[in-house]
Amino acid sequence: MLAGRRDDGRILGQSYAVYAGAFALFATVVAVIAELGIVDRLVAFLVIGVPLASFAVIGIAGRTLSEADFLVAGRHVPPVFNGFVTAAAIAGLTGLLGPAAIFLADPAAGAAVALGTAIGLALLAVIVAPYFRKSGAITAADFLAIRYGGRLVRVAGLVVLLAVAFPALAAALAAAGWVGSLTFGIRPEIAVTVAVAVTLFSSLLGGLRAVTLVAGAEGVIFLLALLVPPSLAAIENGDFPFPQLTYGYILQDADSFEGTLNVLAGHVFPQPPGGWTWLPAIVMTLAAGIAVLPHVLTRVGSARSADGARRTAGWALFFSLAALLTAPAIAAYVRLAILRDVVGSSLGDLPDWIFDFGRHGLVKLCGVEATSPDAVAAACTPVIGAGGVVGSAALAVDPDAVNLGFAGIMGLPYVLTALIAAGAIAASLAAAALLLATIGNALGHDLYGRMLNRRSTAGRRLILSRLLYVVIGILAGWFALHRGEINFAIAAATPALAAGALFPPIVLGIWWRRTTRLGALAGMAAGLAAVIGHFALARHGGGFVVGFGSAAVPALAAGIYGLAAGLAATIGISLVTPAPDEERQVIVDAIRRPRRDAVLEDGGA
Amino acid sequence: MSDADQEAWWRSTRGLAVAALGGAALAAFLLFVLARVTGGETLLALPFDYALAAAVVPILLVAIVFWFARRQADLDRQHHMGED
Repeated sequence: MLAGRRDDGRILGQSYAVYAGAFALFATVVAVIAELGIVDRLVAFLVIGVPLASFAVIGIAGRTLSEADFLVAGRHVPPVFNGFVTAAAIAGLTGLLGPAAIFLADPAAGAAVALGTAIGLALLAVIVAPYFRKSGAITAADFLAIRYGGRLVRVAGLVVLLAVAFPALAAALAAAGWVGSLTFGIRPEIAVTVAVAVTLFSSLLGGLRAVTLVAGAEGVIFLLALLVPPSLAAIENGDFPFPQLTYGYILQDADSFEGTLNVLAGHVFPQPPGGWTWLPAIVMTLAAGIAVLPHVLTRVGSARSADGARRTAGWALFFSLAALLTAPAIAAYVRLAILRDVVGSSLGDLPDWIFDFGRHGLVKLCGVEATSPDAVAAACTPVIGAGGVVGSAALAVDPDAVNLGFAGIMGLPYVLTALIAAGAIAASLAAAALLLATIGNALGHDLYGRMLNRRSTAGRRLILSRLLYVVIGILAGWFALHRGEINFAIAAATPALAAGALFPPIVLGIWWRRTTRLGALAGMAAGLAAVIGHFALARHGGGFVVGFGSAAVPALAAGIYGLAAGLAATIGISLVTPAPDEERQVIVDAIRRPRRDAVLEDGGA
Repeated sequence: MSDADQEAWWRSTRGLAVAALGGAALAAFLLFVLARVTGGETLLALPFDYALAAAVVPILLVAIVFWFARRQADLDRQHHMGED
């Protein structure tokens, strides 16, 4: 597989269809055995553990000694498969839980996230991907260095890449560890260590080639976990089996029950949006950010051609629709179940999942964590009386909990809870491995191979890259454990950082010939400073014009400040500095042309 | 290929990108205006403007991207810019 043959796409499709079928059969067998009475933890161990082992095995099988395979999967990845794994990596940034959690917390913000993601991938297809691929760049920093020339641009690109990608890597590992810890009841240290180990097995020996092959399997598990439980919930509820089309009616059912749903600030979605005011900013931030996310660019760089990169982005959008259309259906069912089964119930009739998640601090009743029936009774009895019913005002749920517990909340078998956890972990690991490869390749190729030791051999660069993978993986694991909440907060800002610091120099570098090296440097600095400055001020209770520095601005909307500053600086400084010289103009033309060009280092191949 | 040929190809490429993204933006804008005009109308039991943002426009974008990819490939071939 990924050998550069014409029928690679067909072989990959068949292989992963067999993998999906085998896993579905395995999960069904586990479900049948579970009915005989095996403990939930063993069910979770099988449904989550077996795919994790398969990821490690595929990662080892994908080993390579070729530098091209290690850095860019040999540039052999067919568009449909590449789009599939790109979509998995994008979804993995917040795990399976993110979009549904946002829809549950605020449907309008959920719609803005869906729209922004879709526009971002469309922008990627039309104005970024084919040109990035044609440049022959390995990473975003490499592209900037090719376009603008000079060591300073490469260093600045590396700094920006690390600022965007490293917190996202730590957050992806933290998300996988958090889900594993919650599902198995194990210590977070163990769960995160396993996540780091699987990520390293998936990437260390084969670089991007192995990451790509493993991501196919991770995408399959993610897709099954995303699509199967809601369809089964719909069937169980007597609804049409594709709730993506009918969740409006489910929401109408939910509204027929009295009460509103109070949503806690979630784990994966730490900051509830501030109402309609910021929705356009969320759309703009996501659109600009996703179009230039460093790990997404790494993916399109592995396409066979400029046209293949364009189609990769198109297929990524197509597969992302599965998540974007299913997330609100999950949220709708959860909303219905809570308002139907919890609100209006007496304290003695509360479902078990309330206490399962209450013990993890994810459900509150009458202002206290619902750790046990006794704790809830002690807190609620003075408020609603001994025989009273739970009102909606007394209940507050964390959106992450209700998404992870979707199957339990809907009364579905535990095997589906384990499947959802497996999907969330798989998506997080898909993002983690790709981010690790992006950072490792940036340091090994861009910093060492292109700057520190240009005469280094491919073998030496590969050894160094692998060492870097290990160091970065362990470091990110440490951050995931010790700076978990901060990582989640920064990861939510990933699109904002990318929009501010990478969108202006990359997009203008392609589409505006007049963009200069100093303009690009100024744009990166201004975009990054604006976003970081906003968050720093917000943390200390600032707030100036148009929300800059205000904590009321959602992290997902903060890219507008970086975008404005980055575009203004790039254009302004480009206009007052001398136009790029002839050599740069030739490079720009070569990046734009889809056919091979001798002026690019490897001909753009 | 002469500079003039390349310039013509780039003008067409730029025009196609503007047409694809501008067309998508215009279509989305008109749909949202329609949603405002129709007021409380629903689509599959969802408020019309919500359904547009969460589902209709993203699906429309998929169609536009694949149309764009095909047109761009045709354009590259016509101007002898193809990769093969």
